[in-house]
Amino acid sequence: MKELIFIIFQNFFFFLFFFISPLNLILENTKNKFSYIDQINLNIIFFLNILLVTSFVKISNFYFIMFYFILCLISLLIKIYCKWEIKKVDLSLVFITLILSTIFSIDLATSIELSWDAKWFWFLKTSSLYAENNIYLLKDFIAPDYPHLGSLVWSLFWKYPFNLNEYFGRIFYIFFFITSILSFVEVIKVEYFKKIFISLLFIFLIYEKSIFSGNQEILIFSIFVIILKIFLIFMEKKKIYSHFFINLLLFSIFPLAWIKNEGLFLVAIIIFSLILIFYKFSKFSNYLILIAILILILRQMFLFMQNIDLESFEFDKTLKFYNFENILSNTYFILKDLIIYSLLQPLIILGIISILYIILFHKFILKNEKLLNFIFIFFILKMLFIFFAFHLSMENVEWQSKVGMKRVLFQFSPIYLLVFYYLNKIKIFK
Amino acid sequence: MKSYFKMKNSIFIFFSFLIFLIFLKYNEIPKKTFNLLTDNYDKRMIKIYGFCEKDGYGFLKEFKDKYKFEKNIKVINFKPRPSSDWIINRANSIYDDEYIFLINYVKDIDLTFVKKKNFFYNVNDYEFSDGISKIKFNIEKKKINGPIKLLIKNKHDKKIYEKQLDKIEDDVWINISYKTKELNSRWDKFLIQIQGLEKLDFDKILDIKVRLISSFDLDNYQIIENSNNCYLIKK
Repeated sequence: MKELIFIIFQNFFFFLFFFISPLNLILENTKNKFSYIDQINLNIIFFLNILLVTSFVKISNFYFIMFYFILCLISLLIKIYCKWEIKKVDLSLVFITLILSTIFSIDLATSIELSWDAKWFWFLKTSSLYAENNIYLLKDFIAPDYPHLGSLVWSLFWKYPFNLNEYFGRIFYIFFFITSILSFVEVIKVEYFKKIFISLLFIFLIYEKSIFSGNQEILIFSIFVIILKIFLIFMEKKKIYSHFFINLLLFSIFPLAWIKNEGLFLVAIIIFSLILIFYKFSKFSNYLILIAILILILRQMFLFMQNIDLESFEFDKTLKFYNFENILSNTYFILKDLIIYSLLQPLIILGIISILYIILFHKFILKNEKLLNFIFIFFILKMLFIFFAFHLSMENVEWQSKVGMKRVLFQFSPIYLLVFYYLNKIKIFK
Repeated sequence: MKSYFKMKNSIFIFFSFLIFLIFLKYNEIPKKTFNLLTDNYDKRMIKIYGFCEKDGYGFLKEFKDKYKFEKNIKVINFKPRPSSDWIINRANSIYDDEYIFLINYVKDIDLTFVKKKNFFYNVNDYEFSDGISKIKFNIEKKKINGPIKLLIKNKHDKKIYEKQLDKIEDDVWINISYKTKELNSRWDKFLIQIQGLEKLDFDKILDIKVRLISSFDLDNYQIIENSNNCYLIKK
């Protein structure tokens, strides 16, 4: 009974209070209207950035949480002082978030199983950070080049507020996943109850226990969903070239590179796709290139300063032992798993069916539609990444593709949400 | 018009509830809520990670708590899964050299090699062996006469062991006693190459078993605790 009460408390009071501020003080005063759920998500991303930065300067978890708690409290008091309108809070969405988050947390609490990778290295990183060791000690662990932000969040919410069991840290992943989907669906212009129905449909179709088994793809997924939402808000308002968008993009994209190494490639793919779409606006493209270089340099600097090689990639061994005779059979294995694991993910199946529908009935190429071009460029770059990454995998390509393909596809899958937005835009399911 | 919108909303509210209920039923949420209320954390963990099987959660937890070890204790899980270290050991702590937990312990570790084209490849793997103890062939006939050259290699074609045999007999162990640590891998594939055989005879060999010398011979240790195939041993 105690655990259930704590789960409800963590979801109801802690997360909602913790992520209700402080960014909304800024966001509410801008012309771009961010909904309540958007604000929660942007606060989460702000929190991830602050947590990441403080992790480099060896601030203890306790001081960090106290600092952030006070920051939230002050901003909340300012909001109340400024006559914050409670009407702005969509209570039904808050209610849905809390109900779903509690249900998924119960599912997690009874099927606590960690994934293979989580047992092998993510959990060890997490337990080290939980024990208040600083991030510089992680270089002595398995996979030292794997970044630490996901483990850091896991360890923080494991310890605070209740310090009960490790899975309390993973409840944060659930909360973030739900709010990110709810936030995205807001951009689809349909009636209110239809919107709620679509949100539930997406959440239930995407949900499976294994995404919260300690692997970090779910964080990449949720952040990517938020990036797409921000992108759509600014696209709709035709303010994509504004400094505000570029700052928000930088700030949302930055944590991706510190969750998984693949996050770096996702950053590169997103930025490269944006550059190709908006190549006519050289100033904008230059900013994007600068963002990509900045993120890459910071990540490399961190590894370089600790004498850590990108050993998970094992470039030297891969090139030394790569057997070019196997290129065709390896391509076959990758393609086979790509099809199989795509068919196992409802979001991808629905997305591909919708893309085919658009190609066949809406002649997208003629329309020179920026959004669709973004989807297609992203799709092509994603495919190139998948084929290169698995071909150059140090381990047996067949085995690596079998165990890794599903997760790689999952973290890139939010791109298909854009297809549903487009279908809504061309009034398919209005 | 108003009633039309009302009806339309009701339909979506109805379907939202319907998928919600389907989700609850499909994922057995009511049952899980009951389990959460009745089973404590350790009980749920044992259900998932086993007492003395799988990760050996129950065994490790019980005796780690009983002996109140201050240092980390080395955990050897003989099943090829990630180490069970994560259950009891804390990161960045030093290890006690005296004690070892053995989970899913097996005395005789056999690597099985099955035929694929012209070679035999291992289908299972171990990490805790000191060498090769003996080899056994599973043949469709009683024996095959040699001379036969047997080669064990890793996936990069590096020779690990080589032996000349006069004959091979079905289901008969051939003593080897060769010390090597090179067969300890969960990742690498190994292969056996047999030279000097007619194709007809080669086709008669179904599979090959290689018995490894275990790194943990219980006779050399003091057994502190034991439950099924799980041991807490002391040097």
